[in-house]
Amino acid sequence: MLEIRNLVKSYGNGPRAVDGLTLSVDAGDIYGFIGHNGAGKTTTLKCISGILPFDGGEILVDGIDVRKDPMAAKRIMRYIPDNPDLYTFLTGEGYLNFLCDIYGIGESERRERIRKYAAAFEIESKLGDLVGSYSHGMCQKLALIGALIQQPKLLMLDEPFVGLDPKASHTLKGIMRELVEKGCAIFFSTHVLEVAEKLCNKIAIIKNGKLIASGPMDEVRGDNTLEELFLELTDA
Amino acid sequence: MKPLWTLIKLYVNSIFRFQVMRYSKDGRERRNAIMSLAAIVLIVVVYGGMSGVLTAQMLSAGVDASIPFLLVGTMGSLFALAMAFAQGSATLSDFADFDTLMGMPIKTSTIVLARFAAMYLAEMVYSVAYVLPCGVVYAVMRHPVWWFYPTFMLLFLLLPVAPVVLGSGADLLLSVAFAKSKYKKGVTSTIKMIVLMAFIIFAYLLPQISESFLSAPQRTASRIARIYPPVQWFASGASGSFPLSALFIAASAAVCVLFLLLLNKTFLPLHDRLTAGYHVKDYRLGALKSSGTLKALFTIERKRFFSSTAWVINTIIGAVLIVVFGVVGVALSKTLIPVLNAASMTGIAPTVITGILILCATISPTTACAISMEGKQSWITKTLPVPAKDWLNAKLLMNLLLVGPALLIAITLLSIAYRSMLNAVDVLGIVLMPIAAMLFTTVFGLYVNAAMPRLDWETDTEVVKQSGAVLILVLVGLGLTAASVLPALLSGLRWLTPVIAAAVLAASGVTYGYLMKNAEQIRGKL
Repeated sequence: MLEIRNLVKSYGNGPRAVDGLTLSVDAGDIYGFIGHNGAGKTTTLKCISGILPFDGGEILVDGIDVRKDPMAAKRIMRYIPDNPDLYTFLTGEGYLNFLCDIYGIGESERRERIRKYAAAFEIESKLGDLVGSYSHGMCQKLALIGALIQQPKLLMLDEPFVGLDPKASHTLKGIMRELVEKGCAIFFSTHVLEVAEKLCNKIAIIKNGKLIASGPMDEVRGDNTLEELFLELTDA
Repeated sequence: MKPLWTLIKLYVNSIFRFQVMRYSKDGRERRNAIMSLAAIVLIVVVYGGMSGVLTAQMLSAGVDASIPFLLVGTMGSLFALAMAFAQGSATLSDFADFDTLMGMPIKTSTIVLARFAAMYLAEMVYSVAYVLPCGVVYAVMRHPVWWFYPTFMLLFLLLPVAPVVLGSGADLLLSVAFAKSKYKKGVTSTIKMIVLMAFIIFAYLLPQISESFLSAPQRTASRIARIYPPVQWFASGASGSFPLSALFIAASAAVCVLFLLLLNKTFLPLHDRLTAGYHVKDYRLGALKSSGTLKALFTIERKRFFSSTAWVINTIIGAVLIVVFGVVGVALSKTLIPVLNAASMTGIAPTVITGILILCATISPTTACAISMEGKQSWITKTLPVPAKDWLNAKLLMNLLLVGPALLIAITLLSIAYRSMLNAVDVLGIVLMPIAAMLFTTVFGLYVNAAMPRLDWETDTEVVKQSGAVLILVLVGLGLTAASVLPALLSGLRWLTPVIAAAVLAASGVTYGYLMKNAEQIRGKL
């Protein structure tokens, strides 16, 4: 579903934020992407989603080159940043309806999907309020609902559990499992290694823009815990 | 004192972006910051020049020295009052880094003082533009005694204080009154709009005021003094009255201290009230209407526009003035037509109509900051499967739908009302030229904003009023007005106006073509 080949990205004349990164995420994968602060996780996610141009390499989403046909790629993937700044001048309902218009989701279908996910994240009664009055966690939930109603083939999340309450985190994990069972691929960054260990079937570790380990969780981790492996690799 | 100074430096940097100019490694960002500052300096120079020339004329005509001070003091105070009224609550209470600052070990009074100082310094630009040149010309022409210099400097520095207090205080009260209303932005914008209209009408009357200053200075001065006595104290103080200088200084200081004490005492509850927002009780998801991509993007653009009071006030004024001009023009036509005919000045009518319509239509296009207004939300459109052309077209449409209908109404009304004075070429000029000018500033505004985007703003005022793109478009509008009407006016060749209109239309087409061709690149570079 996602093929990243030799991705290179620098900011201005600075060092490479992402340096020759290659990995692939298959349909049905919950792929964890871990690394220290400034390792290049968010930069990689932004390059895939079309927010940042990149200097070298290739990114394919379901076989579509994101540089050659960004519109087609964006139609089947969705990215949620770690701190989603949403349209504060819209109500929650207005924001979700806007996304449905963009993705061409029919009127009855959108209502059903919004209801389902808004109820799951328990913000149904708040959809009439302006997004500007939402807390960080509520914005996070709304952004997630916005991504889920689109039913993307590839879902990319940057630190999705930051700001969510325990129940919402639990709900999100359940929804992630449900999505991959239907053939979706999920690629997400996290600092919470326990979550990655329990949730992901594959993992990639990035350090200073370079991939230092990747593959199925059991193979990469071996006999160590993910925390031990992460510390061993990143301290080396 | 150190935290206060640090905060003031922070806000001054945020307004004028000195650190970006000095340290940014992004050449484009640095250029944008320099251009913004250059545009502010240019506007100060233009207004300053006007103020200096007016003062020199008055003093040469032998009027009392206090009169020019009264005039520039009135102008400086009015501008500071209007600006503070437009942005007072956003600057003093509902600002982006409120939580960060309140979580720091900084006294609330320091934060209050720093925010007030930031607003005061921004308003000082108008005082510098209007008042300082007047003082310099007065000093050169009248050679006052030595103590004029320190007294004038003190009076000059204090001139915006009371207007800033009054303007921001009124805005805070207005915002508090409608804080929990669903239509908070709409109601406050409308009220501000009405107040601003009154201000603009007064500003339009200023040429007559300055004429009456020359013909009957004392009577005019006493009229203004009745409305706002401090400006009379300022003017008399600057021209030599020590007691009135002291009165002005004491009054300004007292007003400022009282306001800051009150603001300090109510700072937290005020912020709490202003950010509480509107909440729906017993909300249920109803039927959801679908629409196409362009319409959906336009809806976002429209809602973003009307959610920003500063943006609405700054840009809708042109459309309102066009309608006002059209209606007033029709109402006065029966009086004006015989006067113009008697004076054999019928040829001037199409030029005046066209010129005023162009000036109003190009005064401040929404597109000049439409990209910047996306701010930190720009990630949304960048990640959506939306063609960048639609994204730009939605922004263009916003300005066209705002100004276009007003322009068509005014053109129709004026063309009918003054038809006896217009030939076919004149009508063609009146129809084509303002429309061409509106189209050009709409697309050129977006072009300039695409070249000089600013997404890292804290308050919308930074991009709506102080960004380089907006200031450049103000100058472009003035230049386009002059270039559109002066050739026909000076040469007497009325057919020149439609020819210029055709050229402007062509330039609009080329600019639009460039935007559409490079749409993806423009969005990608944000």
